[in-house]
Amino acid sequence: MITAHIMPLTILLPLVGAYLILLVGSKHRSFARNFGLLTTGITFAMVCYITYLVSNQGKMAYYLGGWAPPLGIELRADPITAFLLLTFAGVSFFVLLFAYDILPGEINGKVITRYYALYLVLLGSLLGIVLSNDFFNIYVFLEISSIAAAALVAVNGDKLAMEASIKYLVMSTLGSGTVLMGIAGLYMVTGYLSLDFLAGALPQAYASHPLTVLMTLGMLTVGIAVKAALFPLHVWLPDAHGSAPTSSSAILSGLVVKVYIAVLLKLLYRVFPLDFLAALPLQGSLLVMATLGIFIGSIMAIRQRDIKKMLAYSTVAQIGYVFLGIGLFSEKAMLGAVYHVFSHAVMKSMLFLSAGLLIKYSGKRTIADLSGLGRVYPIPMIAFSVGALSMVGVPPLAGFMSKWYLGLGALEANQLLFLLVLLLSSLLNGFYYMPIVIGGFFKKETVEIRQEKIPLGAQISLLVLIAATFFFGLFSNIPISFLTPTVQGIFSAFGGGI
Amino acid sequence: MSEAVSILPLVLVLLPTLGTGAVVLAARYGQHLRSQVTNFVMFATFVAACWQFYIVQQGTELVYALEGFMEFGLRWRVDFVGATFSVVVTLVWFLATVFARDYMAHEHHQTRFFAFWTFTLGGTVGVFVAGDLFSLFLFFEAMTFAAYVLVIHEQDRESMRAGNVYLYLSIAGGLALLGVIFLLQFVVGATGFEPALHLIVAKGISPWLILVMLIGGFGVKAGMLPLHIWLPKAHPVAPAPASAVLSAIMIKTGAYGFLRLLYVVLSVPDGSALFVYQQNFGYLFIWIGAVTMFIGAIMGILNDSMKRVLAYSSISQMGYILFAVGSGVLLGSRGAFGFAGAWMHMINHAFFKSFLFLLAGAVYLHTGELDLNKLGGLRRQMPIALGFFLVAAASITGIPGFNGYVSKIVIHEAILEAYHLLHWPSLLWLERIFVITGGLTAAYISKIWLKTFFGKPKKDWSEVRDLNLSHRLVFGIYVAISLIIGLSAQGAVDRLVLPAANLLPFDQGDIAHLGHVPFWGRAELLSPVTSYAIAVAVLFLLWKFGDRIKVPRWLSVEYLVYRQVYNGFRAGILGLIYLAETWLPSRISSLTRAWRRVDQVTQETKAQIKRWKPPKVELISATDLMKKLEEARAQEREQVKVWRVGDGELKRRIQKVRQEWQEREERLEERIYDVVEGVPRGEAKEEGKKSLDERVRELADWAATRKFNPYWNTKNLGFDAWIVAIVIALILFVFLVLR
Amino acid sequence: MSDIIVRVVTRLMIPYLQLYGLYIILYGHNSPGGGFAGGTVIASSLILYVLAFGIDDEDLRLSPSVARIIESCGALAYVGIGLGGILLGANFLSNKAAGFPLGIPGRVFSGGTIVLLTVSIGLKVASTMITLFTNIAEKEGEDES
Repeated sequence: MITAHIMPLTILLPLVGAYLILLVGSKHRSFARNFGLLTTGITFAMVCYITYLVSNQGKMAYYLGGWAPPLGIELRADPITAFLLLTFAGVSFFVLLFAYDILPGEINGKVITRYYALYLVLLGSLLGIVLSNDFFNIYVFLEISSIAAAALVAVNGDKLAMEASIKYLVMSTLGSGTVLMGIAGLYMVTGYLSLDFLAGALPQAYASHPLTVLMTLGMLTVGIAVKAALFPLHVWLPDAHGSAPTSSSAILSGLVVKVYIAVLLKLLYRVFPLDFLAALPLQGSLLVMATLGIFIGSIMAIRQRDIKKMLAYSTVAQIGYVFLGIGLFSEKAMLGAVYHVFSHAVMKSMLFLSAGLLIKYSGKRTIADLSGLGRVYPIPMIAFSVGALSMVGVPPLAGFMSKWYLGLGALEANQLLFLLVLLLSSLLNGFYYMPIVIGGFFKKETVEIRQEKIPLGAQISLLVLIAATFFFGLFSNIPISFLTPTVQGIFSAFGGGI
Repeated sequence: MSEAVSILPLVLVLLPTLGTGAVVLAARYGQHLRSQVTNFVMFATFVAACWQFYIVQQGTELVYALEGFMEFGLRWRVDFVGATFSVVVTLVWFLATVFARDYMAHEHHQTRFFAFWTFTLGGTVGVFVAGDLFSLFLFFEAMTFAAYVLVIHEQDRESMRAGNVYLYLSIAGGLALLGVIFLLQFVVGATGFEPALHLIVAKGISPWLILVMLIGGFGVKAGMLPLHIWLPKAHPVAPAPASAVLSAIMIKTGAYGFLRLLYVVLSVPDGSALFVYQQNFGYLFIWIGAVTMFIGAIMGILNDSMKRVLAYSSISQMGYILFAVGSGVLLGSRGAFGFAGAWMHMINHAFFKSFLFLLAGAVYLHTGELDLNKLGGLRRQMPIALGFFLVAAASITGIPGFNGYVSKIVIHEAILEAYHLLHWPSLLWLERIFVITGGLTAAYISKIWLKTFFGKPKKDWSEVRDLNLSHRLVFGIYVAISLIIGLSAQGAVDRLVLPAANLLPFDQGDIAHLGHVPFWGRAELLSPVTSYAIAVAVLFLLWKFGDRIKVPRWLSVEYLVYRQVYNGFRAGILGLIYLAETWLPSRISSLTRAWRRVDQVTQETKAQIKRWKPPKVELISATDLMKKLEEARAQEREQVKVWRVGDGELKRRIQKVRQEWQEREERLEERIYDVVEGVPRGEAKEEGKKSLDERVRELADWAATRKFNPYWNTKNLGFDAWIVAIVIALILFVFLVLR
Repeated sequence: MSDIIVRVVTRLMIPYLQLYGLYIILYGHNSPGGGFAGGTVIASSLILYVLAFGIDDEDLRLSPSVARIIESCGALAYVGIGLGGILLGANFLSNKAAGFPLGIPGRVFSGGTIVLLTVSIGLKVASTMITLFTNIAEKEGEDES
């Protein structure tokens, strides 16, 4: 029975878990931690099972309430969706494993229950966004994720985080509102909310209301761009991700900004047909914004002194890469974009988690003060180095593979310029990551470092993330072969490349 | 050439890579065991390389492939070129390891050094046995990153700086190489070493783009001008065995890359329409090589630290190799001599450069000095070292009977042949540059041994011992190699070069010609005389006028090109950031300042209303009432006018000023530390004469009289700015979408 | 606002307000309204109480812990009803397909699971709004004193 209903159960489990934590956790303090970890673990297992099912039988669909679309809400899983689900559930689990012992040191003891509840709600909403095939359902989960994410930033109540969280919330709500208007516009001209039916009705709607459809597309893209931190709408990101607790930053940078890209993927590749998109100047604007985001993000990251802010700006740059992959409209580029969503989630969480450990054990957040920590705490520093090398694009790590596909995609789309953009930005990445790695291992300590034992949960999660970075770089053919048929299917209707 | 699948190349790479773990493990049980294990790993790798050479020499190419690894698989392919150089690499590395045991005995972090030392060998040998460009790139990057740890081993300021330049430049080079791989993969579908120029042009990609990326990628590693700036920084600061290996082997990977790419991938048959590209490439390389060798030699003469002179010597000798590569490529199928010269010189330079660096290391080990101005008169204490040094000097300057002579003659023949075939006058000038550089080479090498072993001793050398037995053995092996290659000149060419040349489609007549190089002809035997004559002249000039030659610091590629580009970029970007972060928000804020003022006044009035208590009623005359009203109004005006900066703000600004001063002090220290050749740099500008306290007082005075000034940074970015941004973005998208 | 008139009228009105909210919830599937609107009305009645009698009167106020329990139970009840659809053989949140009795349209107990869902939503929304209001009101009180 579980097999048939696995999709809604996967979304529901974290949500139910959140409320159970709220109910019970206020009385028993450690219930929140243990139950949260357990729930996330089971969700991860369920997501793995979904992936297994999808790899066997292709697409899976589920109708809520037994009502078929367009009347009912549909949940759909296909290989790309399953891959994204794996990313979200897996990284969430390992971040929570990390936070098992580290979180009580970072935030107030009184709000830990709330934190875990919010975390689980966020996880549930992320999974919901990816699985839904109904636009309004996507919107509902979108809103849930925004609020949960904003709350995760401000949960501790310190002034800086609250200011950042309010900024995040305001801009996020603006984005959500724009997306809502877009959805309303689409519903108005086509009368459907289910993605497949929208795709079918769109050509006729475009014939009768061309301006409305175009404006809708614009609004949807802008709304998503605000939430996904595409330049120049990324201004909320550095403060929000820089001042949040470590596990929040890891989740926010790694997963939350990515889920909106998943929405954009669904929008651009499922709803709007590709030849339609190619006729619009959308590609140009996306590519220009993405390139600007890459460079400005990298340059601002070089200037930063605070390590978390630097990582946040680096996220802006990496989001630029993903948008580059989406905007190039070629097969390899989209593979690269999806793979980069995955590898960046793993890398950035690893970076944030190890940075959190380094901050905790040195008491300082500035890069200059983090010298010499590698000798006292090798595991976080090695994790950071692996993440840094992967960001620069050194083989055989996962970051190299996603850049490989992005580069080949750029060449496929006949845009040699973006290959050069890719290479140049990798060099810029090196400029702001390498000093930390070098300083951590080879410079003298500038602040007094206590020698403490790193909690087991933190160690395990860092080691697993390091192993994942290596594994998905060395054996990237496994996920790539999983994804390729779907990507090819999307593009074959288009006639193979632009 | 037949092919055979063999696991030997994989073993050759795995031995040192896994051996790193063995070294680290052994280090737990003591230094002695660690050095034994290291020596054993090195020796085992050498034996594996020799065995591989034996098999390949009989005419079999070894291939191996690991499929499914990173999506395309790793490929190994060992032909004669790869096998020979593997033997050279492992031999040099082994000898350097034996030397390093005594040299590093008093250093810190020995285990780290030897662990990365072994790993670097794994990456390096992998480069030479790689089967396609992708695998080469993988090993290349591994080698680069591992060698970084060797470069910064001392961990003092100079080493860290050198390491930074090395690392960033190498990363940039690696990315350029990655660009070439991308393009090849896109054009050909695989990155193997097969001719691909016609495919590249067919796809519409400019070959010059690939060449520029190629030069960027391998040129950084090969120490080609103008990408060489890391070499004179990095090679001197590394410990001597590491410098030896860096100079002798690692920069050869760059040359090897050029060999493979230019002779195989980017080459076309003579008659093809694309031959023009190959000719241009070759010509460009000859010039690059000539400039590199000449400038390298001149810098070598002008420097005074032994290791730095040797580093510039490496640059200069790499110039020789590039020179030869270019002349080979230029002539297409008639370019056998160029190829042979480059190949031979790669082998020879590997041997005599490591020989020289290890000797320098020995001198440093026994005397503690590397500065040529402080050394002198060591011939009494270290006569054996002097003997070895003279042999090495003879090799590098090309005295008949030693190995350098062989390759120099071949290169000379190559450029002369180019001139004979093409009759371009510039080629003759290039040949003259070649000869002059030979003289300059002799000059700087002679300067080293003259200043080190002869002359008046500047310090007390009575305690200095000569080389110990293990070092004598190592150097003896070097001498033996040099003599064997040098004395059997033609034989060495026959065994080492001809099989390599036969791999490429060269003209058979030329290859036959290679079998009969006039090594013992009169003109050739007299060439070292020319070199030394030039050397004597140069040294004389240096002795007479040397003190007056001061090379201005700005006259270097680094300052003229890199610093200016960097400063330009930085200025541009900082300007943009200033525009976005400070200027733009201040313009916006001046618009919204009025609104905020209104808001504030409204708030204040509301607060006042709240606090208002009904006044006690008292009878008062009209005039008194008027006076009271006036006073009240005046008070209110006062309250509104003076806007004070809150305490918190003041504290923050004081903190900021303190920080700024701290930073300035540090920077000042740094600048003073920047010494050039012992001469402190002049103008450390006075950063302001005021003391910190004065400045703070000033700030407090300023704060008291200050009007409200919105303090903008990204943290306090007001809502208005984003709304404007979003509105602009919306308008942009809508406008773009709706045209 | 400690005006006596407000207090007296509030005391009279609150039961009717709550009754009205309950009506909106229960008849959500028959007439306009439903869980969200009805829950808001119920919450507004409690808010009115706080406004009239001040934040410090603990007796009749809905305490935060109780509100949290009601909220969680409301959400869990919703999910539970949906899972009931699964347990009865159909998909999540199934109604007629799972075999819930549909009753006669127009009466309160019709529409299968819709009534139960509406009630749980109403509870949840009411308690959420109370919690929000209490949080903000308490903070304001801190600022003023």
